[in-house]
Amino acid sequence: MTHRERILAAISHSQPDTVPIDLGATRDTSIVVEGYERLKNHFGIDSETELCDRMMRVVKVDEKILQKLDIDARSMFPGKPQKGESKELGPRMYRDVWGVEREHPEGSFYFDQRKFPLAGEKAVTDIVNYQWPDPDDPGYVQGLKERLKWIRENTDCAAILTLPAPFVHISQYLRGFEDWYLDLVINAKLIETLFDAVLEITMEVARQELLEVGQDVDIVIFADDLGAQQGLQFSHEHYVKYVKPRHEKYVRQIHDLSPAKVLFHTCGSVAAIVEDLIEIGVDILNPVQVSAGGMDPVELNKKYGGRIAFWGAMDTQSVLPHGSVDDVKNMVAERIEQMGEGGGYVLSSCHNIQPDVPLENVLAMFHHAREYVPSFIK
Amino acid sequence: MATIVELNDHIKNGKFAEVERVAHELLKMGMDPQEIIKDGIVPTLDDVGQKFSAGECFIPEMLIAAKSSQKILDILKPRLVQENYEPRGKVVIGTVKGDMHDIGKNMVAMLIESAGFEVKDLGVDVSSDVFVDTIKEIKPQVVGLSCLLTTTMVNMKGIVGSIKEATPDDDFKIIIGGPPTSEQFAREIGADYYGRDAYAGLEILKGIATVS
Repeated sequence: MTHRERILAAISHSQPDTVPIDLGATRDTSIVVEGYERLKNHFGIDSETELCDRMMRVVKVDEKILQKLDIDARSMFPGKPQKGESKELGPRMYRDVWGVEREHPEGSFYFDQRKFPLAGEKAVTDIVNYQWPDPDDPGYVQGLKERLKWIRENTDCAAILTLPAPFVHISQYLRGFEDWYLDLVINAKLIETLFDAVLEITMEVARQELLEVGQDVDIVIFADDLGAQQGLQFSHEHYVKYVKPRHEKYVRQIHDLSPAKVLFHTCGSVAAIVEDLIEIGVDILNPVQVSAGGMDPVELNKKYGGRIAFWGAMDTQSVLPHGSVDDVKNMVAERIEQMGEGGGYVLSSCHNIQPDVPLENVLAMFHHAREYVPSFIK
Repeated sequence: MATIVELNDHIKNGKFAEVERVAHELLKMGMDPQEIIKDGIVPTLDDVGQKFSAGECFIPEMLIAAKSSQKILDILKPRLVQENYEPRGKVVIGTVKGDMHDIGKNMVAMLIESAGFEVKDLGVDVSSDVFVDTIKEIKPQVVGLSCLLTTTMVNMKGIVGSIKEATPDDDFKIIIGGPPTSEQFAREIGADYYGRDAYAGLEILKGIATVS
């Protein structure tokens, strides 16, 4: 099987020759700068480090490393807006295209929000009159066709197109988390206006990306975190009322403009909405955060296996950062046995690999995923 | 006529103006502010908190109840000061160095303050020096440390170590919380308790306050 065939088999629920693996094909399955530098040193790579996400300080993994680790998928990230992706506000501070200000505190590996531009007492007119980014900026689609051509000519891997996060993430960054949660209960009109204002822009950027390369990519990914550690961030009732219909619209556009499978990333405990995700047309769920409440891989596979594929499930909260190489190998073997039979599973870390994960654990995860022969294949 | 039951309902549904109106009326009617806390706020927060822990309500509902309670407390505070009200205990709380996340920490702070504790909230990205100086200054019974990121767990460990080293004779307990933390991690770094969620933190605190 080629790498692409292996991925396509797995996400179509038929048995691949071995469980496919991903590093860096999405903004949520890559690695943070410090860990990446160790990986580069290990493989003797001296290329310049390039980010695919500034806030999370996550990298575009060098092709040579992807080949050494035998990774099955390749990334296709949108280009940067021509009017500028961000404005520098200081040595460790910037304002992004949405107007959200972020800083990178000492002792942290990431940027975090320092100013939420639509927080506090706001009226619907404040949302409407906000200075929204231009979705027609030609920068977003720049380079996508060339990247796809390059993947097809130089690799036999699956191509994954990244679309913007629809509205949950961005509206939380704009409104501030506390006001956002309160609005869901006491100011629905305001928060729905914000959701729709953001969605209008992200859907247009997504539409243009899909028109550019949607017909020829293998998978399309979008992300919007809905889970917390023990359960959903908000009730299922709120999900159904405010989030699900908007995500459904977003997914419908993808299916209308592309034959690719739809991969949806949401961190945390989301067992309560897997059925809803299947219903709105999500084909693959990432990251299957096994350390979160109710995210037991066996249970999930039993209930939903065959109807939705799983992508991730390598624990980044405990085993990868704090476990031994043997713990990591055991986790790899266990997960493949739990989720790999008959396809339906692509192995990757549950989130971007953080700087607290030792190099040997990163290597053990990918090497063992390739070396381990599952009982259902023997 | 305003009633405690009415107050209980408004705390949950987030009608802040109504919450304030009823709290003012109850005071005017001569109700003791401590009674308003005991019968109005505490049982409602217990109810919402227990449902939150059980996965029956979520961050928005918990925040609504905590915010409503804060608004009542703001109204009661001048009277409580006049009456030399003794808080159930003093708590210093903060998100550890390198970590800017505060939703969980804020919920804990609001909950425990509403339940009658005095809270010194140090905010986010708090260094061990700031924790140590504050502890020395206000002599709390409990110190609460929060983090969201696995990569700041190491800072949490360092801060617990620094606090213990700098205050060997002080008698207070350390509670940690946040998504990547656990009972086992609390033991490993020398913290006294792990709070699985905001309400669990409050329950631990009530236990400590009762003993001391």
